[in-house]
Amino acid sequence: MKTPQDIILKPIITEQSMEETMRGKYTFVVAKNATKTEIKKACEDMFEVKVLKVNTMHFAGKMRRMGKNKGRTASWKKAVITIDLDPQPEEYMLPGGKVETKSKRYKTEITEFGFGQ
Amino acid sequence: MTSQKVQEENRTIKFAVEVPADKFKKFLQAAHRKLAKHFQVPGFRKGKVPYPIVVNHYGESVLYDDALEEALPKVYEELLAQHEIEPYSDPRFNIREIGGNVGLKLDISVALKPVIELGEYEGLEAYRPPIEIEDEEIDKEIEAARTRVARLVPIGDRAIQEGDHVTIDYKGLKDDVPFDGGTAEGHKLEIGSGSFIPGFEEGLVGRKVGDTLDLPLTFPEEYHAEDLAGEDVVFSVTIHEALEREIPELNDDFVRDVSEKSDTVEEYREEIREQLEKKKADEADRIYDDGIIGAIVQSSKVELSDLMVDDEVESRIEQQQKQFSMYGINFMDFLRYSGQTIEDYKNSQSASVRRMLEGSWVLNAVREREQERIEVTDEEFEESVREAAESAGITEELFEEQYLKTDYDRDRFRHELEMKKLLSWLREISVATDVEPEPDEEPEDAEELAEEEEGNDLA
Repeated sequence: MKTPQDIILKPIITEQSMEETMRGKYTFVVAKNATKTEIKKACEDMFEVKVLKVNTMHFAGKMRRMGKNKGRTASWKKAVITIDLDPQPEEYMLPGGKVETKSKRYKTEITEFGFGQ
Repeated sequence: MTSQKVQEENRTIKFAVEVPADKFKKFLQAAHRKLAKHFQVPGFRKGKVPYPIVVNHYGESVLYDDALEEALPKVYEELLAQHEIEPYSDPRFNIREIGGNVGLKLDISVALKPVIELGEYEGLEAYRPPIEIEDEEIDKEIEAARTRVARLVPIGDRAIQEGDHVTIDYKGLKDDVPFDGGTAEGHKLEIGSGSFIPGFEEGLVGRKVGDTLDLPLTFPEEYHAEDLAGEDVVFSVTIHEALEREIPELNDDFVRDVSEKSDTVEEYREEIREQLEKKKADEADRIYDDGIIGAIVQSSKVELSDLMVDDEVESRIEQQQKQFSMYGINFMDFLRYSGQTIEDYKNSQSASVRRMLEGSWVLNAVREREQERIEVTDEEFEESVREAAESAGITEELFEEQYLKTDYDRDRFRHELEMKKLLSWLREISVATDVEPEPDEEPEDAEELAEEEEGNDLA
């Protein structure tokens, strides 16, 4: 089984990504074979936030050469996840028309972001 | 900010101060803004690294210095306002805890106004050295005056002897080849000054002006230029001019020359005696004053904070440093060479500084109590201005223009007059003794050492 730590590899911390955290967007390097759903789940487990959206992109490795030897650096996958900055309690309609409110406490920021790279 | 008095003794008060974390964090962030352009982290342009990233990347401690620089004066100001304290020294900060999460916890110590309980100050005994002028002292002064006005005159036809000033050309040859620094023209040399290698000056004695001679000499074994040390060389020397010091004879002519007042040798001796007497009397008064003040301090109770003494010691060290740097010496280096650390030096100074401070505070207390007695009237003020202007050699108007322009200057001048009056009053009511007090045991005075050092350097 994949643990969240196998999926979310490390944060990408740059001026741009720091700027976007204010709008609830956090950028990570993720496992190449991870899907958006897996990433969403991993984030919710790890950081206790409500993920609204996951955008992923593939990056091909860069060309490198040493003399006549050509090669590539490793390819990788980037994910920008958008979290809910104002999570509301969730309501369920139970059989019989009863409404139950499930209020899981979501955080509104990933405080670990930027730490433990 | 919370503060609490934790200790008060000997006019030093100590507070435990705490600045809450959120407030201290503001200072840290301000420090971050100030230093922003120095931080560089991959992924960020210079100057754009946000606060949390800096803390994570560099550690919070890089911000402490600047945060404290901002925070301490504000904290101190708030503390003074809170406790309504008038400080009499610079504050001492002792940081116990610091951090963005714990805030700032520190001790602040500061001196309070010294408390003086005046004791008896009338009719105290103090040592005043007797004023005695020996005939030899007068002779010495006159001798010095004669050498001072001595002129250099050509020696004419006689042979050169020790003490003459000669002008020479010389050329030094080692194995018939001139060597570096061995040749000069028109060089002035005093015979017997020892500024040339042994044998050179002696070799000129007995010669006459116009002579050309060869001096076979050997450089001393310990010579600073290694290629010359211990080598045999030949100097060929031409003597162009020789002068001798002509010391004027002690007669009435000489007296008229050097003195404005006296016409005869007898009068001149009397004039010198008066000068010496005045000098010695001033010196005696100074010692007497010190003695009186010391005695008042003895009879009074003075509580004076150590911090004030430290402040004064520091400012003295600063002065010393300035003085030393004028001669191109680093004061710290100097202390190291003389085998002292800066702490040793401070310790050696603090006792005398404390005495000095106690003296001036006590004197001030006496002044306050005797205000009426030493009141300077306007006439006296005018009179002093006249005197001061005269001794400075300028007109009264110019003196006022230069030294008494502002109220502050006038007050200070008046204050000085009051002090003078107070001291002379104290001299009158005190009893002079000729019993010399035991000299205080004081560690070697670095100031004297300093003077020696300076003397050597100038030589």
